[in-house]
Amino acid sequence: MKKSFNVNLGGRIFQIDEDAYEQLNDYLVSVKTCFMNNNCGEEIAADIEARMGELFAERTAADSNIINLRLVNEMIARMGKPESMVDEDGEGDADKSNKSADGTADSQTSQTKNDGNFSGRLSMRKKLFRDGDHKMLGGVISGLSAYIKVDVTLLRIVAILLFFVTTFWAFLFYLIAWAIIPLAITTTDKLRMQGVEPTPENIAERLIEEEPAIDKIMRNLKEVDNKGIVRLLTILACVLLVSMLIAPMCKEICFPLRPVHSYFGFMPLFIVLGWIGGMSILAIPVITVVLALSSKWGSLSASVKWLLLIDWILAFVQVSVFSNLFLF
Amino acid sequence: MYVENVKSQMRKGMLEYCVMLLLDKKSYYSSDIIDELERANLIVVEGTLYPLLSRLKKEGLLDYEWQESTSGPPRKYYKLTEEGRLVLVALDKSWCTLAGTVDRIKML
Repeated sequence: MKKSFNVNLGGRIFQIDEDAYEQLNDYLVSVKTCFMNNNCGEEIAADIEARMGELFAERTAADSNIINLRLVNEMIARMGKPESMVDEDGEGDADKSNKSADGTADSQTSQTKNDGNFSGRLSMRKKLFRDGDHKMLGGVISGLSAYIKVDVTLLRIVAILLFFVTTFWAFLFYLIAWAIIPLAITTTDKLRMQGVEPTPENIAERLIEEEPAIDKIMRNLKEVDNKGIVRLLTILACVLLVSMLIAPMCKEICFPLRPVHSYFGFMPLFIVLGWIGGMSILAIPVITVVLALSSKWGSLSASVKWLLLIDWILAFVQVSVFSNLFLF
Repeated sequence: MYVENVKSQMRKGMLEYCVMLLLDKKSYYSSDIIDELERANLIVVEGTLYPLLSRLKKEGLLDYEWQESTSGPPRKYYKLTEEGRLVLVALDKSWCTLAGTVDRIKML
């Protein structure tokens, strides 16, 4: 579910998703900023806005009525980076000669004017996001690494250690963090994630760097994320395998003594682990059938299909080990 | 990369002249100019056109008038001014000289 707005784009009314709106707004603001030194900058920006409105009108009539993020990125790629627009027509040269003639004072005043216009309005504090561009699983740790500026590999190693030290409770925490931390979608989000102020200049710069990322988004939307699924299924297999190996040891050590703390410390863990195994037995065939019936089955890699089977068998073994140990 | 660079320089030089050539025949809506230029592979990203039109207008070489559209908001139709036509004649001469020079050097 996404929030959506009505916007007036060059005299046409559109319905637009919230994330798409933010991305489009970032782009139009950076276009305006790039042409700020030009007398007719407002007019150029209005022309570009009108052209985008026209293109959206063509596209939305064909597909659906709503502008989504994919469409916005497509149109931004089509219109081009704001900076290349300024460069390609020699406007930059004209500006340079102007500045050298009027002296540096002029360029400084335009700089301060520019700061006054935008930074006050757009100033935002650093925010924790999930980083979808550098994710391994959910992007929680890569987002955290951008937030606290610590190397992502180091954080991942610490996280894996925590998973074991806390007997997998950290993993539950990870899943919760995955659910509640928002994903950085728009350019503004990504800048805020890194603590960079989302000024129009920074946004424009980032949009230029990100052009290949737009291709990536479009590709990702078409294809199934095989790598991600393989990672998830591998982790599930590891959890099942490790849990059935440690269960007998834990039972031998803790349960004959039955001290209160070991009961509270370990029993809920095995309930959760057993629940994961049981859910896998039920869920894997259901998911497989749903996937097989949908059109996506063909684009799944062979390793995904094998891992589904392996996980299912492991889940059976784990549940039978657990029921032997704890129920009878 | 080098070839791309030179090509883009060539396009830049040509773009202005070609836009003026188009507008000399009849008045154009900016999106139709884009279509023509894209067909001729003269423009890579559409955004480039608008600053160019604005600059030509500032120089007094072209002008636009608003016209109602059957679909959507009113549109700007660009056309060459008298001054623009004079400049175009000069550019035509310059182009002929350039093309002649290139041909001559190729023949050497």
